[in-house]
Amino acid sequence: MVKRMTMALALTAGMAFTTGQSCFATASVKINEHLTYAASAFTQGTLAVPVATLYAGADNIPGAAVDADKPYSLCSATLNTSGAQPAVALKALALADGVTVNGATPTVASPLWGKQIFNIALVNSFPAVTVSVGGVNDKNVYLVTRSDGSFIIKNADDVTINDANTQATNEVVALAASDSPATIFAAVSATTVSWDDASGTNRGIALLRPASDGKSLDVYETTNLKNTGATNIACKLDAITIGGINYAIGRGVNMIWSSELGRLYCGLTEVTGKDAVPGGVLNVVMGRYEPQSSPTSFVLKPIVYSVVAGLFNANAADQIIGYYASVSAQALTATAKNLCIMHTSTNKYYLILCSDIGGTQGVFAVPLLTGLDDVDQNGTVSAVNSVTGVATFLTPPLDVTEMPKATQPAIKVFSGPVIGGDDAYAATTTDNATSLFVVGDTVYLCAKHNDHNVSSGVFAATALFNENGAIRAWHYSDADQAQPVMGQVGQVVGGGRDARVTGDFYALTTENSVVTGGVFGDVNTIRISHWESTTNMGIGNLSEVLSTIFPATEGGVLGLYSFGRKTLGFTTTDGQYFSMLVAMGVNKIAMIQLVTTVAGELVVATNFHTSEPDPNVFVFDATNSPALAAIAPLTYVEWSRMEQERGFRADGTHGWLFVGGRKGVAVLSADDGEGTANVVALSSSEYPGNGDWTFKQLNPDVGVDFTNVRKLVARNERMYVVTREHVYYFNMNTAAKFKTNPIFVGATAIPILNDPLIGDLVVFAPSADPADPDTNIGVIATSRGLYGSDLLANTVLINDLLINNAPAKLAVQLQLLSDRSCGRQTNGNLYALVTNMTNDDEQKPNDKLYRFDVPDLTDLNVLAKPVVVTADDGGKMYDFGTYEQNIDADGSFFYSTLPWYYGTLGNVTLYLQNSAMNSSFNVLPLLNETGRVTGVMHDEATGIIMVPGQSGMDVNG
Amino acid sequence: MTTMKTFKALLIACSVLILSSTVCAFAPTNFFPPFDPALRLPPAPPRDPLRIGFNIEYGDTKHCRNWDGDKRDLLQINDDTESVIPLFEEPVTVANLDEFLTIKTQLHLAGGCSRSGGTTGCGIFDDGTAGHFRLHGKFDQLEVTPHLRYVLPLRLFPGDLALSAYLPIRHARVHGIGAQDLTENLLDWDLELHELFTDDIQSNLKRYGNLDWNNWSATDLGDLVFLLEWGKDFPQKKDDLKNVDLHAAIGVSCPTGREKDEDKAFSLALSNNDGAWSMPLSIGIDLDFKQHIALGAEANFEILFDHTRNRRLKTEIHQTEFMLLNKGRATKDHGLTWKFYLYLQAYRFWRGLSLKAAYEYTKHDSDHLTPKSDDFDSSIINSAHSLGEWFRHEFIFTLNYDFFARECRKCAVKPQLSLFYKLPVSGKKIIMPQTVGGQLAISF
Repeated sequence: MVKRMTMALALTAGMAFTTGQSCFATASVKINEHLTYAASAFTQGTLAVPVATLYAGADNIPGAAVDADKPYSLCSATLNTSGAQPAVALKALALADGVTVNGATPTVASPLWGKQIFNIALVNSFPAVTVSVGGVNDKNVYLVTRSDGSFIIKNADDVTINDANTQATNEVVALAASDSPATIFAAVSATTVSWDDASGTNRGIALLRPASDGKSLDVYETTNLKNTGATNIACKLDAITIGGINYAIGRGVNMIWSSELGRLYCGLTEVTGKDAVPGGVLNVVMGRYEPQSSPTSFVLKPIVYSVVAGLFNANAADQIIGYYASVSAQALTATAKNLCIMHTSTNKYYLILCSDIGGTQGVFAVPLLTGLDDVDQNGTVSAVNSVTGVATFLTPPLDVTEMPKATQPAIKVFSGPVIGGDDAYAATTTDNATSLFVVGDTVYLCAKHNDHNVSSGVFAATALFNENGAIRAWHYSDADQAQPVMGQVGQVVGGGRDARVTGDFYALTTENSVVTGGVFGDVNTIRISHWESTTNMGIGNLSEVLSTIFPATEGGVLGLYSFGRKTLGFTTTDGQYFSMLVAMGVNKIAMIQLVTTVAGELVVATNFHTSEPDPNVFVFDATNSPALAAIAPLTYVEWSRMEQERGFRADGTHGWLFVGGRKGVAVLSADDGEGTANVVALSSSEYPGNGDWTFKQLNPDVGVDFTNVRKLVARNERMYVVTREHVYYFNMNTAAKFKTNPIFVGATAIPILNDPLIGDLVVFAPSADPADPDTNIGVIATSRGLYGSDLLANTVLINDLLINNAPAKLAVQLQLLSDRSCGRQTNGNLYALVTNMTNDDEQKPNDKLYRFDVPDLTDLNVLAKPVVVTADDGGKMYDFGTYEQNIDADGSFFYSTLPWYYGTLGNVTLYLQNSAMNSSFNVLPLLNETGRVTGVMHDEATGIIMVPGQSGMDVNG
Repeated sequence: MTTMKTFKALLIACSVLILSSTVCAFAPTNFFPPFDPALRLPPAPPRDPLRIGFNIEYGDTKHCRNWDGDKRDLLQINDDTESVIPLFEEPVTVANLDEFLTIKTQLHLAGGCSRSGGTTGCGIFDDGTAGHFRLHGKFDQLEVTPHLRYVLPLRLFPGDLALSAYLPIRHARVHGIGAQDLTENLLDWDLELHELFTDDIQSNLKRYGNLDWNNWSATDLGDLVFLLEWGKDFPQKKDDLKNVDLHAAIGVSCPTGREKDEDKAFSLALSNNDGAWSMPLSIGIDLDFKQHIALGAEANFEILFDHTRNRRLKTEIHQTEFMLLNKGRATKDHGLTWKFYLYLQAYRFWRGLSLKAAYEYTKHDSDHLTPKSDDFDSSIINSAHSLGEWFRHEFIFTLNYDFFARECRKCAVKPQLSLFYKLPVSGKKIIMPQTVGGQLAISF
């Protein structure tokens, strides 16, 4: 299904472009045949030149490497869109000659040439690196100051980087950097010994800054921030023990500098007690400048303010940033890796990290204090609620109950067993979580799992906020499916996402993006997603197929719906994978199998066709389906979403596809009304292509009007039909309702106060497991505000969306980021697109985006609570300033579409979901140049962003 | 008052009887104003200071020159198509507002709804066809302008002074209106728009904006114009040039004509200046050569004064001008109208017969509206194409016979007769049919 990537390197020019194509939804290039890569760093570029760039550093230089390979020990990749197809432009930075080092005559080979680059930090988008040869780390730091790699500065030859005792370090093991002032923080070992040597207690953090003439790196005394040359001194690494014990430490170090917080966070690995005595350790320390002291110094502090043993449950392994052992501090070890800072759109700060405390592993969000009068507390861990882990952001933890813990929903981003996203092939150690990056309110996890597609790739988790703007849970952090993004890209060891210009993903990956019984190969390929048709991206023919089935003259693709792997009614067998897309036109639908199982592996299809053999696209249209003709134009598609072997459907034949239209609702069923059993695949010999399956128009009761359908929502054996004026429901409790010449459906109208027009409905259930459908709870968006409803008889107004005391606005759409995937939500954040349909003082067409939290279903009156960031915003996130058609949200961005604007082409706009809400950009897929854009959606199975429209579909994945 | 009404009725009846008239429109036309130099008759003998007569002009067309100067159907003068969707933005004076806003909401909700992991197109958006109407119609106008001219027996300074008065009587029609709904019948939101609004566009415009899209016609007085003219001959003793005549005029145009009916989309103002006072000014020169050849040039300016009244106003920049539902009081600051006129004439080359070919260029600078209510935004209401500048280029061919030159030299009453044909060449934002007309006058 997935073609291997072929490529060509233009080594002589130092550039490389793709000439072939492969995996789903990315432009890619294999950097080098012989090298493998582990280090990476991603930059957005500068404000003036916002060129997204991914740097990659070689992990080893094997014997097979020849001189021509060695420039690629350090390289950078950007997306080149100037050609017919997007391609990755690759630049080697470790030049063989002509390199200026510290201003010397440019006749030497780069000191990076042919070296292992095991750490990359970015100083104003330029890479600062450390190198290693034969497993021996260098003692210097190198900063590449020209984008072609021809100019490098380092600490002067006569100035060693010293440890915390002014003795020359033995090795530099990690870097972090700040832009202003340009500073490199280097983790250095004690003199003559390695970082992890027990005797090397003078290990610490050294500070380097470019010299005033830009020709070298000065090494500073951290005690007074003076450049005194050879007498420089690092800041000693301490502040990591509880009880003053001796400690042992592993070799890995990971650091991140936050310019907003003015704090350095240093993640340590395998920290444990050196002796069998009571005590504890931390796996993260915090560095900061100490301006209060004279002279100003750089200091390291515990990440927990006033850390004492009482802040830890003795011998517990669930406290993420450390532990305390009551008998022997050697009983546990603590590791922190892949540190990132999240500054949420609600203006809160979190330290995101991979943590392993005595085997309790996962990706966690540790809330940080900011803005307090006591600057010593700023940047340290905030107290949290003892049950939920929701931060107070008021004080440091005063006792163990206020410390963040691995099991708390606000803290747990990805839990260990779900890194990689599947029960069967879960990555079970933090080693598989190779890297993290944060964009907006979303954490992206780069993961690798040996030899299995489903657990390798890039996965996303988005923060769910409470009414105060604190994180209370995470989108899809649950145990049964992490949300992939970018499609299938193989094992990933590093990446980033362009937040300024395109929203593209960048990933440093394996040679093969998909395996079916083989291996992924070496990490030597860079893949970049982009907005394009699938054809132009070289990732298959889905765009072409859609534009053929749904010609522009008929309006094109008017709806596109993904039904991910965890959709109820799809196979639940381990090692079986199925998901589908359903595309909708004005009077036809196409069922498309997107995910299939090949040799026990999940594979995303790239070859879509309706013809034998083995078609994976099945079309039903008005010409052969009178029911579709009768209800057209079509407006919505929904799956029955019923769990296997439950209730009256014990045989599992409850897979129905429902389609709504202007004139009614139709269902795809057998002649006797039965649905299909749990779906494993779409097939021409079985479901839905063997001729047994036809659409039948539902026949509602007298007084029930199924016209003008806006939405269909299936939950717990109950189908909700949202029309422009009403919300109805009927139970899917008998196949007789769906047979030829059906009996009455037995639909019931849900009364809604003041008879508003209906915009949207989101249905929650108290648990992910199907329960009594009468326990379903709904949030209804209307022309009179938001209503909470028990979806039976009680509906209450919960928010009338007042703005400046103006009357109610129309809530057009509710976009849900929920706790669980594939329509099984129990809580979540709702993004509401609100438009002004009144005649008040805000008459301009200025749609707004609101954010609400639905934390639980206990009280209809406060079912959806505005997520308030500033005192009077009422949950309002953004003013669009014009009408919008649709929104979508993935935590990094919210997306809006405006198909047309008075005869001129509309656009797809990405708004960066950050605290300032001040960054947005249009992406103009080719689709947009040839017709109306339907909207933006994220495929549930692959995370690929799809933009259907009048001329087919563009993607970014 | 009764006398005035009787006089007015007589004039109207007379105009109909003699098939003459003139008009001004929702857009300007190329009909002559009463004091147009092309309508100036040769002077009567000095001993006959009083002249009475009338001008007549007729034209019809199905076309116009739009705001870009392109030839279009008559009712595409301001916008290629009329658009429904912008009507729903910022309704200010719309009637039955709640109902109107409900339609707006229903249109926004047409189609399906998106969800996490799925997207559906919804809502009607202006794509250049949805909610658009292409209009066509016909225009005709007949104008009769009785006039009176008296050469004052004053000799305060060199040259002659004359006082003229003109009172046009106009009959105009915009008829044969056709409106083609360009909204497709394919998608849900298209069908919804048809059902809720465009299928019964006339009723809906009437219901929500009291706007009538029916044919329109009217017959009424135009603006009364008084003109004080000065002229002086300067005889020449050159071989070819016999005489130089300088002349100038100043006057006032009183808004006695009917203003545009704002509730009838296709109505025209029978007033030259849509209710505004104005002051026409002119200066010209005529050169008489041997062999009965004359050459002349004239510059003509009309200064229009501000005028405040209720008007149809845009509340959103994309609204189109035959489909404005909102009305508000606004003052129009008129642009200057200026005109250049050149002619070559074979003057009385056979008895009293003269033949003249003239070129006339007329331009009106942009108008500007100032809203009298906070409900309207000045920049938006002034985005109307109808307020933009307009101009026209045309040729006029005139055949004139002065009976007093030979046949009636000694008659007590000295008639003059003139016929003209006007050929439009190009223009911008103007209705400019080919017109024919004439003049009949007697001096005594």
